Amino acid sequence: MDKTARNDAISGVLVLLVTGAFASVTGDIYVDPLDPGFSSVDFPIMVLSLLTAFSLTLIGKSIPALWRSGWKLYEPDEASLILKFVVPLVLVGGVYIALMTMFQYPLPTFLATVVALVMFDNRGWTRLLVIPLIAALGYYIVFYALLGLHEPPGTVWAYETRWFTEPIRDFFGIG
Amino acid sequence: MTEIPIVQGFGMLFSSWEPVFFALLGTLIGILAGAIPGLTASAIISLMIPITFYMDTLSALAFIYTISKSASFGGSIPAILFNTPGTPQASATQLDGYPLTRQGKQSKALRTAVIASAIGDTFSELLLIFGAIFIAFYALKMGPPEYAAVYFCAFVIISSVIGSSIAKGMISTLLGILFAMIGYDSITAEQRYTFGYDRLEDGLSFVPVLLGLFVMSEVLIQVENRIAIKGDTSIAPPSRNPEDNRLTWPEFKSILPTIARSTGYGTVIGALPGIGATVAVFVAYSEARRASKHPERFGKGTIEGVAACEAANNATSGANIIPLLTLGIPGSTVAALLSGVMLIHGITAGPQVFQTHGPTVFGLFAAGLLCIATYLVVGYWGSVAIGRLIAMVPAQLVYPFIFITCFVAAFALRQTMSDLAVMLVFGFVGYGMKKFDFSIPAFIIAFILAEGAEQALRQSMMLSDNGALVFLERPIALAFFALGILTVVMRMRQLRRHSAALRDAPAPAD
Repeated sequence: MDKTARNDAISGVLVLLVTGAFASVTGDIYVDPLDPGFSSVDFPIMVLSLLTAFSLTLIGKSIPALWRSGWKLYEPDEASLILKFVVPLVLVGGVYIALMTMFQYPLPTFLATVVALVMFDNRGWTRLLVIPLIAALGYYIVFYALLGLHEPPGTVWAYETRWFTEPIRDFFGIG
Repeated sequence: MTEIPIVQGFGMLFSSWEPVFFALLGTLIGILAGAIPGLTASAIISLMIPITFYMDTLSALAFIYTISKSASFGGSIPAILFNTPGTPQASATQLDGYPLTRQGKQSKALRTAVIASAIGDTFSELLLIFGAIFIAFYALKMGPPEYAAVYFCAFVIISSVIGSSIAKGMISTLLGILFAMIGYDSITAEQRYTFGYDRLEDGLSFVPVLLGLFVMSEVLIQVENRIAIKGDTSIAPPSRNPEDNRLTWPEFKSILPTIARSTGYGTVIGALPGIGATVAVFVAYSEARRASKHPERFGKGTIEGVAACEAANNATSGANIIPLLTLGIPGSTVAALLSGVMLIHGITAGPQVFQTHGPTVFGLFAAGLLCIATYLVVGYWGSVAIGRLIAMVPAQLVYPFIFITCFVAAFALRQTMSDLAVMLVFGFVGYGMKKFDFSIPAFIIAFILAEGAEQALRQSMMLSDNGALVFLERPIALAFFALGILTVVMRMRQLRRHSAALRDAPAPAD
C-alpha cells in the first residue's frame, strides 16, 4: 500500500467535505448591495476556492499511485489501534465534559484521571486511586480556589464549595 | 536626559516582585519541560497560557517568553544524558552529546551546551533589542497594501517551507484562515459560518483551539503509540578525571569560532518566518563539521558538535520575535503563542507596539536577558540533577495529567463548557493533521493572522478606485509579493530535485 498516496487521497476528500460544509452556508452571509469593493463574502469565497483547488490537486496526485497499488486504503492493524485507543480516549473526553456539566468538577475529574491512567498502562492501587485523588484535589485548589474560576452548578448534583475555597483564598491573602 | 530603552525595561521588570518572579519561574519550568521528551515548548506554553490571564501584562509575557527560551536549552539535557531529545531541535545535539556521556564526560557536554546556548541566545537577544525598533521605525510607514502583501508573503512562505508538501502546507494555512472567519466579520459585524449555533457568534477562542491542536493531539498520538518507558534512563558514571567534568579554558577558546558561526546561522534562519530552530541546528552542525580541523570526530563525541547545535538552537530564540514585533507576523509557533498572549492582554503585535507599549516590550527583553543568566547558572551546576529528576518520572504518568490539564486550561479563559468541546474536537483534528502530515504551526499562524490579513486586503481595495491594481502602485508591496512567489518556486524546485534524487538512487544491495 502506498501510504502517502492513501493519506493524500483521504485527507483531500476530508478537506473537500469541510470546504463543502462551509460553502453551503456562504450564501447566508449578508452582503450590503451598496457596499463597494470587497464585501464580507468575497474573502471567504477566495479561501474556499483555493481550498477546493488544492484538495483536488492532492486527490489528483494520489490517484495514479492508488490505482497501481490496487486501491488499498487501510491496513487492519493501523485501524485497530485507532479504534482501540484513540477513539475511546476522545469518547472519554466527551463523557468527562458531560459528567462535569452534571456533577461539577471534582468527581468527574477523579474518574477521568483513573480512566486516562488505565489507558496509558498504569496499574496498581497507588497509581489508580491515590494519584487521581491528589490530582483532582490539586487541580481544584489551583484553578478554582487560588485562581478563582467559577464552577457552574451541576445539572444533576449541584453543591457549594465556598466552605472549601474561601479559607484557602483567605490563607493566601487573595480577595 | 533620555533614558536608554533597555534600561527602562530593566526598571519596569524590577519595579515589583511579580515580573521577576514569573520570569524566573518561567525559566525553571521551561528547563524542566524542555527536558521531558515529547513535551514541546509549544505544548507547555499552551498549557500555561490560561494561568497568565491572572497576571499583569509584563509578568504574563515574561513568563511565556522565558519558558520558550529555557526550553530550547532544556531539550539538550535528555539528548545528552539519555540519547533522547527533549525537543525536536535537540535531536542534533544528541549526535555528539550522548557519545560524550558514554565516555563519562556528561558534565563537560552539558556545560558546553549551556555556555553555547547562553552565548547564542545573548547575541540574538541583543540583536532583537537594538535591531527590532530600527526595523519597526520603517515598518510604521507601511499602509494597508504593504501589509496585505506582507501577510500574503508570510502565508505563502510558511505554507511552502514547513513540511514536505506545498499543497498540504497551503491547505493547512487556508484551513486556519477559514476557521478564523467563524463569528463576526470585524469590519461589517455580519455573522459568518456560525451554522446556526449561538455559541459560535463570538468565533472560536484561540486557547481551546491551541490546546486541542498542540497538546491534546499529542496525547492522542502517544496513547496510540502505546507509550512506555523506553530506553535506558540510567546515567553513565562520570569520569574520574576532573578535566572531563568541566569545560576548560583552552577548550572554550577552541570552540568559540564554532559558537560564533553557529550563532550567525541561528540568528539569520531564526529571523525568517517558518523556517524554525530544527533547520538552523542541522545547518549549523553540518557547517561546523565542514569547517572543523577534525571532521572525523563529529558523531563520536566532540564538544564542537554540541556547541554548534546549542548555539544555533538558542540563537533562533530572540530572532524569532523580530518579525512579530516589526511586522506583526509571528514566524514561529512560539511567536504565535506570544502574540496570542499579547492579544489577551490588549496588545496588538506589530511596529506600533514600540510606541504604544514601549516600556513593556523592553521589560520583556530585560526578562529575556535575566532568563539567559538564570539558565546559565542552573544549567551549569544543575543539569545532571535535572536529568536524574526527569528520569524518575515515568512518561505513563505525564500524559494522563496533560490530558486532564487540557480541560481545565481550556475552561479557564471564558469559563464556558463549549470551549472544552472545541478543545476536544480540535484535539482530534490535530491528531488527524499529524497523521496525514499537515502543518499545525501553519494552521495556528494563519488562524491568528487571518483577521488582520482580511482587514488589510479590504482596506487596500477601498483605498483606490483601481481595485486590485492598487498593489501595482506600491513598490514595497510588489517586492513582498515577489518574495513570496519566489519562495514557492524555489521550494518547488527543491522538492522536485529531492524526488528525482530519490528516484535515481541505486537500489540497496540484497
